[in-house]
Amino acid sequence: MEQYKTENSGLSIPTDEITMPKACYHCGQTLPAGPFLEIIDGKDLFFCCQGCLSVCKYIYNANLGGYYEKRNANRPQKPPELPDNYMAINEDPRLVKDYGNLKEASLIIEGIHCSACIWLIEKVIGGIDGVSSAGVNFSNNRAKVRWQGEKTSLKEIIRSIASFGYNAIPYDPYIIEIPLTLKNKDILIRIAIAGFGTAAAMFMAEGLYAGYFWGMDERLRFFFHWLSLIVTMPAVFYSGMPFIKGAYNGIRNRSITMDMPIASGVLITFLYSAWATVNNLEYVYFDSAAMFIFLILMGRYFESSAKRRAGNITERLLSLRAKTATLVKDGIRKSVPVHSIKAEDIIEVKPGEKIPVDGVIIEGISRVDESMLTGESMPVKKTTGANVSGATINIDGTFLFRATGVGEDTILSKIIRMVEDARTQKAPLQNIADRIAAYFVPAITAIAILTYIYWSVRDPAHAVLYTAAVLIISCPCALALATPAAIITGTGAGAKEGILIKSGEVLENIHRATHIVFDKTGTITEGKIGVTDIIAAGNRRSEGREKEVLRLAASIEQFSEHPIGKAIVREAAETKTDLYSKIEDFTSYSGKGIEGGVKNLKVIIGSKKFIIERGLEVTEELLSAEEILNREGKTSVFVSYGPQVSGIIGVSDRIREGALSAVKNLKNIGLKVTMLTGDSKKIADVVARKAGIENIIAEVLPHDKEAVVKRLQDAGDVVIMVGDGINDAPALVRADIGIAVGSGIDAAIESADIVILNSNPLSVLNAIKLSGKTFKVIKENLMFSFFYNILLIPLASMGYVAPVLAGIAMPLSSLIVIGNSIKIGRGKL
Amino acid sequence: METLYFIIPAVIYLCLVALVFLIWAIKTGQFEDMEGPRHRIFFDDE
Repeated sequence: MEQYKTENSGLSIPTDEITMPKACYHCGQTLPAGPFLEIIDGKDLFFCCQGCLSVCKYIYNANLGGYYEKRNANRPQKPPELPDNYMAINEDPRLVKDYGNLKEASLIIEGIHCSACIWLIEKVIGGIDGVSSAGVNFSNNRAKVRWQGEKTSLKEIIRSIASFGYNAIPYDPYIIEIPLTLKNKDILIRIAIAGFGTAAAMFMAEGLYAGYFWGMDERLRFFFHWLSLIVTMPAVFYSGMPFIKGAYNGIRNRSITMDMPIASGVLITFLYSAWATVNNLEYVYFDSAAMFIFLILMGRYFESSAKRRAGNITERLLSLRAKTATLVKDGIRKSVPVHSIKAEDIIEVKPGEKIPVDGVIIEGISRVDESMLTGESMPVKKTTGANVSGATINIDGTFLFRATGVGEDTILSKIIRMVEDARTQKAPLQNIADRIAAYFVPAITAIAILTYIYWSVRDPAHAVLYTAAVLIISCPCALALATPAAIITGTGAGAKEGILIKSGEVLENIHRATHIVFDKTGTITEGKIGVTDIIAAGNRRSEGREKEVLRLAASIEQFSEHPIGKAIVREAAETKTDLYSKIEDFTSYSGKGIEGGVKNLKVIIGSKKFIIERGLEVTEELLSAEEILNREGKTSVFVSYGPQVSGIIGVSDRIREGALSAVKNLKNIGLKVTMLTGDSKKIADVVARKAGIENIIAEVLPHDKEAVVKRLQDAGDVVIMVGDGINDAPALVRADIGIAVGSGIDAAIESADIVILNSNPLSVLNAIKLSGKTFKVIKENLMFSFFYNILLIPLASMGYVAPVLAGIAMPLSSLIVIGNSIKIGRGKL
Repeated sequence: METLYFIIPAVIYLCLVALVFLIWAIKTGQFEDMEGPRHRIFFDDE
């Protein structure tokens, strides 16, 4: 801990003599010319403003001074360096809106953890000279900044934010955010107006019902009818407009959707009531019409909120691209925006940078993390002549490469196109309610016409009333709510378990699936390297010696950036193995191994080849152990101490806990299970055997995964695809149902229909079970709604249903459907 | 009973005022960030 309290934390505490620190004791910002000085707790402290001073005093007065020590200790030694090429950010008119002397930009801020971060960022941005307003939205970690163009710049703002350890990325709000926000606002306003109409019409309806039973002054009733008509009108014609339009479009395109019965139900109820009001008849149903719209709109609002959270997949993929690159021309290095790079340009990539475009290495060696394209966690070694892909990450070497694919020709762009193609070609899942609506509407219309014809002959005075009763009874409240009510509770129950379901149609359709395809890496396996075996030299197994092997390896590997090294260090931390504190002469041999000194003896860690190269002898017994590990698809890391090889650590991508039982249960519910992987057949076989999967499709290139899914679909299967990487995105979209596993935010998540946040394979099973349960409730709801209609419509057409009864039966049927749906959320999955 | 002719429209009018206020709140984005403001209130140290 000591080392963190040094000068360069910028927050040193002055002690004996008054030395002027550079930063405010409380907020850490640079002190202004005339800082505020205060003696607190016997120390002279400097502050940038009265606010910080007061807060600090308050903290000490509350005996919470320890906060500063703790905070300084946890503070990173120095703020992360700003990458050079960030300076190439330009004020592109798509990103920066110009309002004369004021400019505005929207930023995605990375690294926000808590509300204090928001405060800090707002303060940092707000403190820049020339910034006129800055607001951070905590819900989506986005900020909006306005500044005076002549005083500061976007670059300056992003640099200030970065100096506090946050990453700010400008984005175009007109692509991602504004359309969805506008849609949400629009629905909310419609809900507000429908709610107003419903409430007002309902309380008057209560009076009217009372009047029906105990008598009512006819003038007052007339007055109530007119008032109800007025308050309901905006609910029907403004809030209900989307349904009316949808129904109209449905008629024009000859495809009847649920909008049709909703719109006709509302319009008929309203128009009949209006007609009754004008003619001073006894019964009106304004409250039913308004309430119906209100409930349906609520359902739509929940759906739209879920979509807003999900965002836009293409946009996310685009954001993966590097923004700038270092162009080498005539020996001069220059930072340029990525879109200005042309094929044949020479580009330099430093360790830790994103490779900007596709190309071929012409000089240098490095390892590249291509997991975002291939899904494989092991970095790939690249030397002169190797191909590199845009948006992958360079790990440890600097190299020069010649651009071959730029703009639309990069692999990432091809994936984006594949996602879009798959999306447009995919037949939309059919909504059960829409399917039923196609029969329901013509049937009801026919019954209503027959009723009217019959009664206009038998009893012309009541013909209109009886026909209206038929239409009002059949107003498809229960039918229209049957699906949304079940889906809202179903998605809610899923969210509690970490299963996010993006649309109701998915929930209705999973149960039809016949085949489930897992992409191996990240779903069946953990998707990152872990230690599986530790074998110590010597014939007898001894836990103490195995622990020593791990201890030696982890002590050296803690200085390594290699994923295998990280896995070994993680394993040591998990098994609570203490590490040697003094390591001498740490050396890393790129791609081969590492060495370091412990207690005057050399520790060498690396591949068999590296160990033998260094003149060490590997015993027969260890060689056969390596052979076994090799057969199981594991990588062997040799560890030597002094003159002897002390053991082997086996590493591989471990199988997730629960994978075996998830696969078994999936088979039990009648699904065919297939594992898909880009790995070799050998590794795939080992994993598949352990997970209990018989069907394996190995050695599939990333962009062929989609084709595999399509082939299964063409063979008549309804396919669920489970994947995690960006490389799975096209396959996830292509599959009838795509399930993304993983906790990060990435393109796979955007392209999937279901997202599982906890990465437990059993959750895939739970999602399927939840779907089954939801579908069962939907069926029950629909059955009930049919039963209700079949029972009451004949009665109504015979003239037996008193209008007031119709008015009560309608909301009651909706309540029953909602009540039935609530049970999805109860009990275990 | 005659008061009803006055009271009910008055109540509806009041509701209407609330509705207008609500629509104003929605339009000015009061419902966009439901998380931030409840934290931010503690930070106004200016």
